[in-house]
Amino acid sequence: MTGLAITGAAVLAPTGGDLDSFWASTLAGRSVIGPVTKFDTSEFPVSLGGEIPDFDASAVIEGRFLVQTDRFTHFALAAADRALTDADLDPSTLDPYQIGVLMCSYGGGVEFGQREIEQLWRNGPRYVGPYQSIAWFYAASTGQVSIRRGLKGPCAVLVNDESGVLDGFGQAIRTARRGTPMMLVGGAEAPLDSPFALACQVGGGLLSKVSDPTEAYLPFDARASGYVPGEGGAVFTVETIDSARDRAARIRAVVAGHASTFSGLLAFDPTGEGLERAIRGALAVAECDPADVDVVFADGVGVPAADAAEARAIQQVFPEGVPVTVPKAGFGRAYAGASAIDVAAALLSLEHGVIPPTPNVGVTPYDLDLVTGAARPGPVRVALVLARGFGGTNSALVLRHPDQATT
Amino acid sequence: MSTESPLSVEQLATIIKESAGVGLDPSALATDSSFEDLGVDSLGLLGVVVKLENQYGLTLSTAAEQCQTAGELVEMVNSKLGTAV
Repeated sequence: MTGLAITGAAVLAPTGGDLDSFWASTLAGRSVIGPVTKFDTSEFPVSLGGEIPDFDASAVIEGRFLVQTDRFTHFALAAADRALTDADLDPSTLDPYQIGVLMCSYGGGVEFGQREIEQLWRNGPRYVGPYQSIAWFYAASTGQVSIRRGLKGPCAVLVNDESGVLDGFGQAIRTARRGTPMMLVGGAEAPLDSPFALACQVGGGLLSKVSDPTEAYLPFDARASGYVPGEGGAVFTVETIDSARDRAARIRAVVAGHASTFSGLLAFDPTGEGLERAIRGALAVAECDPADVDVVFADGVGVPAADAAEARAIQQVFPEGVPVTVPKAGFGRAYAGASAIDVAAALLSLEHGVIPPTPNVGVTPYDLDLVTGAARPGPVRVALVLARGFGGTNSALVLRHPDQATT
Repeated sequence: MSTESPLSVEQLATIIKESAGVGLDPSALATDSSFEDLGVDSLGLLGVVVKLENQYGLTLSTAAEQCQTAGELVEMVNSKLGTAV
């Protein structure tokens, strides 16, 4: 059996700061996209985001970690704690070298960095703090989770936008093969905290400029005009089936297969071939026939050319059709956190046997069975999660219901 | 000429809290406990030293970053303040 068991999960999304509230919102197709509140966006051509309400990092993270980290790491630290608790894993009772950490990021500590750069130019180098060097860079979340929880197994970071966490599960599979049975895999992003962060995203040219929150982010819709950024992410504990069985852990889902391809820098491959190959590759590793897939959690960028390419890829692999959904249309695209949140939604979809809808989207002009309006009852035994990164990656992950875990 | 009053352990505790995120009772700083024992690591101490330099208008030598205890650091700062012209 090549799969890994997901034994713990924690989500921090604009639609819910824990799995239960997140699932309730996701099932209802709730949309929480609204105006960015942290700073004035009147000088920007965009104004919307999916923000997490009421996340108080100081309530869950010690001061000495807070001062040296950006909010994207606060999300990861908090979610990592909850994932470990959910998995009934106490690192202090385990061999620390048996658990690795892989926390993805795409923007790093942008707000922390903007503050320090402002100090540099306003007041001089003496006013740049010593933590800039460790707070900004992408691996900060991996490093701080590892340090704070004493996890000394192989650690890594993937900086490939939304593909990160799906590829992270692929890395966990390889790491397990090499002898480290457990891994904390996750991703979290904080792209809405500073003007600098927003300016970088506007520069990418893919953000929707529509100001109506229910009309701005419409993946696979004829009115698609780009995406809206979201913040947050999710963290999972993943381990070998044997490890899960040995400690009688509850298996929440099985990571059955992963594949990733690359189709060129800074563009979504308009042919969709790279994504199609990734889908076929993941299904092959999972020994899964397309007919067995019950739902596809699509990338759903909301940029017309990208949507068309993804629709084409899905149609090629699933000529008989397959239910497709994009919950992130309700809370934004959270970069390295996006596919993490999608994996959480897929896990919950498997658990509850229901397919959540795509918020705000009505009829799709694509030949896709897009689930919109109300949630659709399953069964849901196999879920496929797709993600593409702006760096040119195309990633696919196959998740199976835990009843399908065999050795 | 420096007109700053000497650095006290109370002020140092405030600076450590702001810079290193570690909340300490000023009395803990009056003991021989090392910064490490008190939970202030090397980067944290670096931030504290820079904050002291900026706040008091001093230049402390790299010896400041190598102070083992709060007492050493307070003495170093106050001797600089005392001799400032």
